[in-house]
Amino acid sequence: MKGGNTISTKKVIRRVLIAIMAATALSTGVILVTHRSGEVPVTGPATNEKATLTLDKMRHTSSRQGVDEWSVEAETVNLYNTENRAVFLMLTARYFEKSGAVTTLTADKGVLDTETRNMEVSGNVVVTRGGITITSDALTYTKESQVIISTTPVVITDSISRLTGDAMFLDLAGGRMTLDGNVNGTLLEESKGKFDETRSP
Amino acid sequence: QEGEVGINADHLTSDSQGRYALFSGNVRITRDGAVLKADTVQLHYEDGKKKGDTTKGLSLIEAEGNVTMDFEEKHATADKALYDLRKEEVTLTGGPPKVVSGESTLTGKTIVINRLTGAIKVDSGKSTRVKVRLVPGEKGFSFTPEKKDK
Repeated sequence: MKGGNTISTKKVIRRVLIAIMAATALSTGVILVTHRSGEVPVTGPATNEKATLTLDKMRHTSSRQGVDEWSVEAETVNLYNTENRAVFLMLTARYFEKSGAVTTLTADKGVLDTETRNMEVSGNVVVTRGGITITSDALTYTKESQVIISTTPVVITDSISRLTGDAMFLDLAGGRMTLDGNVNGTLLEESKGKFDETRSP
Repeated sequence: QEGEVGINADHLTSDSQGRYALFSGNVRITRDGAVLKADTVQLHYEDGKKKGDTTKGLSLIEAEGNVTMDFEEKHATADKALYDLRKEEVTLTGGPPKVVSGESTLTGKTIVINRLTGAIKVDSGKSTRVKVRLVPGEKGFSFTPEKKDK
């Protein structure tokens, strides 16, 4: 059935061509991303069967009209293109606010939704902003509403006060923080508004 | 530790615009030996911007709802308490406010307790007279303020 064979071969060739085009498009995109940030990954991508692509020692800065909005660095990032997901291991993320304040977040693992830019981080999570440090086991950051939520116990400290709670809701844009459940704290009277976590420095 | 405020509550909401922190739900605040309990407590801060205001930090504790305060073997109750940390003065209103020491009692429209000098000032109102009950042999409401001089 010669006709049949030619048709199926055509299909195979077409699929291979599509795959090659997709891979090219992807690697161009990744190269563009890394070049825009001026950092080319030091070592070649390691292989990871499920991930579309794995990069080591990765750094990316996202800016708009020349102004940096946020940046992320990681020991390893696994890109899952079909799921719009990037998994960062040992990451440091920085958020540059209009007020000039910089929020820095470090964690063992971070899962970024490459479409919404929302992020879930877990493992030794530390957020620092101004003189204040927030530690937790897991946090989620929603870019659209600029909100950080922790559903696991949180510790907020600075040089002269300490505050803990079972869960935290931090509205970066609105400048409002809520702690829920077993709120405990000690503060020295000269603590200058320590609970205003969102105050600009 | 002196000058340290301890706080326990169910919730905290802090708003940088309002420059305050609102604790709510079974709030318990400890400071220099005094224990203040209330439904809600709001901490107010001075940020040192007002003219001549050199002190910064926590300036006022505002407690509201089922307020009780235990200090120097006295027990006070009121609807509302304002604790001015600069003056070391606690102003109790609503309820009406009442202070109990042993069997002795003290009530009026407003009670102001100065934790530095130990002075207690009671004001009456249209419908609330000042009432004092002192029991012989009891310490009553005098106390030697071991508070430091500010």
